[in-house]
Amino acid sequence: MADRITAPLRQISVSLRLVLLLAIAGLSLPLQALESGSLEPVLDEISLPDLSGQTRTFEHWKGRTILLNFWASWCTPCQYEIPHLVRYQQQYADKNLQVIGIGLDDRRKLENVKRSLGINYPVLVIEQFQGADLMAKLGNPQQVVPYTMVIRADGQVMHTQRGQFDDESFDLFVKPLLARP
Amino acid sequence: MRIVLKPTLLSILAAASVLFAGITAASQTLVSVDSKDITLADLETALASSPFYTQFNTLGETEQAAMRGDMLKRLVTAKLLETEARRLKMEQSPEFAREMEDYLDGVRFQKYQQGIKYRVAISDQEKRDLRRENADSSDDYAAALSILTTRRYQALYQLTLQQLRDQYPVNLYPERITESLQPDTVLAEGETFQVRYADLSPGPQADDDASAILKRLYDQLEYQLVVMAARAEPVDVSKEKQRYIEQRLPSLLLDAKIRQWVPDEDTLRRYFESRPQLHRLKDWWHIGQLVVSSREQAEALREKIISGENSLFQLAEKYSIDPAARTNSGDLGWVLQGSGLPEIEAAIQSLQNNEVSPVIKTDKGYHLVVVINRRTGSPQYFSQIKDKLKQMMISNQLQQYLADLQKRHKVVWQVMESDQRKAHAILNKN
Repeated sequence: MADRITAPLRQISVSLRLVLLLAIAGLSLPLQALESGSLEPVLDEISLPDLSGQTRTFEHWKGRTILLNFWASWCTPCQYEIPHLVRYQQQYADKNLQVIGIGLDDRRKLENVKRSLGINYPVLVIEQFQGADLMAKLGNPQQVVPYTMVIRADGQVMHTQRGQFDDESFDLFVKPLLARP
Repeated sequence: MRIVLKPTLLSILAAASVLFAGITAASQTLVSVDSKDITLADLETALASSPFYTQFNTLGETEQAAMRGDMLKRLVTAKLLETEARRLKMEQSPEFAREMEDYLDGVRFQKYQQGIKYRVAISDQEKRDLRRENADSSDDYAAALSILTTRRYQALYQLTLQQLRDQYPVNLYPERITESLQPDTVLAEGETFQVRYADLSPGPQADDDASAILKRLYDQLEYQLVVMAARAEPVDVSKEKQRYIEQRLPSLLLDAKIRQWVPDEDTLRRYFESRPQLHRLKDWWHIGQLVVSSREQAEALREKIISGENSLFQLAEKYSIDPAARTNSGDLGWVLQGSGLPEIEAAIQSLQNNEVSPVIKTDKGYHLVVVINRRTGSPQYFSQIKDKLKQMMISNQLQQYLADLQKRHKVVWQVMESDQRKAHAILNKN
């Protein structure tokens, strides 16, 4: 009952904010966080080894704009996408961007891909089925890779995308979050 | 500094040298065939377009180097064949030209359509609207965008076809699609072309009916119009033409050589019949062995075995100079015919099971062997291994042919000396 009443109200407020934002900043999209709010606690609990075996949590990158990319070594679109992510990291590191990969794969294979494609950002390692479960909890119930999440510096998830993350998405969802010089 | 080395050693070095792709220019020549270069960029392109590329990136450095080396060797082989085919002027035959034009028409057709796709523009405003309508899900947005793009492309494409029909007037004769339709019946014609029933891809069909023929006629006309427009524009296919020649000539030459090497089944049969070793599968023998360093000792031990005083296995454990034989009491396990010392194999042929052999001298020492058990290979018939035989014949001939081609066309492997040192370091490490 309550849902039925609040839902239309929320929609109205969303579109109002949208209009305001468009009017004020001339931006193409609303920059409010995703509505659900259920993803952030899952991110907080992530604790995974990187390729060197050191355990990492997202606490480490708090305060940075995070592009979190789930991938696997056998996934061809992932490999097409990675050079773009490498370029983003290179170009926008000084604007507080941090790309983080989560590889659903064997560590040795991930490491080889890292070397072959010149990956310049940390890659965390997770077993394939656990990785699929994690993605399901993070807004990707289809459990497909590549899957990319845009996380604002304050930890809010701003956008999620299944399939290749392209320049259009980067311009639209990441650039507005980056620090201005 | 450029150096020139023999290919065998060098293919390994080249493979390793390419590991250092990062520090060498993409235009660096790795190998040249009659002064035509195979560059690092060529090698990387070949790798990137191969079906195993995704997997390639997951391999370790040494494995990648080996794969690069293999790929480079393949490129050299193809370049050799291409160079030879050009020497034979194979690309100048009318048949080749016709085949190539057919292929290039296909490319023109695709590129022309691609050009229309590029002209389909979705404005930023439209994208923004779509984003707003699908704010909850980027999947929905992507789907909506793709539907809009497809619709707009279809509309633009149909409009273009209409314009082309005005530009190149076409007379259609659907009324000729009757029972008496012949392959050379003209079903449509324009100023510069005719479409006969036989031209309709994939050619006349046994179960053709009027509506199926009409549909294929429209498809063919669409193809014809677009190709004409693409030729008139003109759509540039020079790169595709060059690639077609480079890729087609090697296989064309190879096909011709294969027809020469294995012209018919009789050739295969003669090859089979002149090689008795192919007529049955190899035997497996379960063998026991004892090796000592003098004939006298071997003869003495043999007497003990024959008299029943000791078995070969007891003696092998005690006296054999082959350390492996001693730990296994001389039991060598199952051995495939052709994999052992020839002197011993010859002796085995005439032995009964569990009969001790005479003393056999090899450069390892003096052997006594027994066959504990044997599995005799079953007969192999020509019809079973026909395809394998063909492959065997081809690969034998091909090796010789490629060696001959390397004498005719100069193959120069070019490797940077510094890379070579690094290559050595890497090879030694592994």
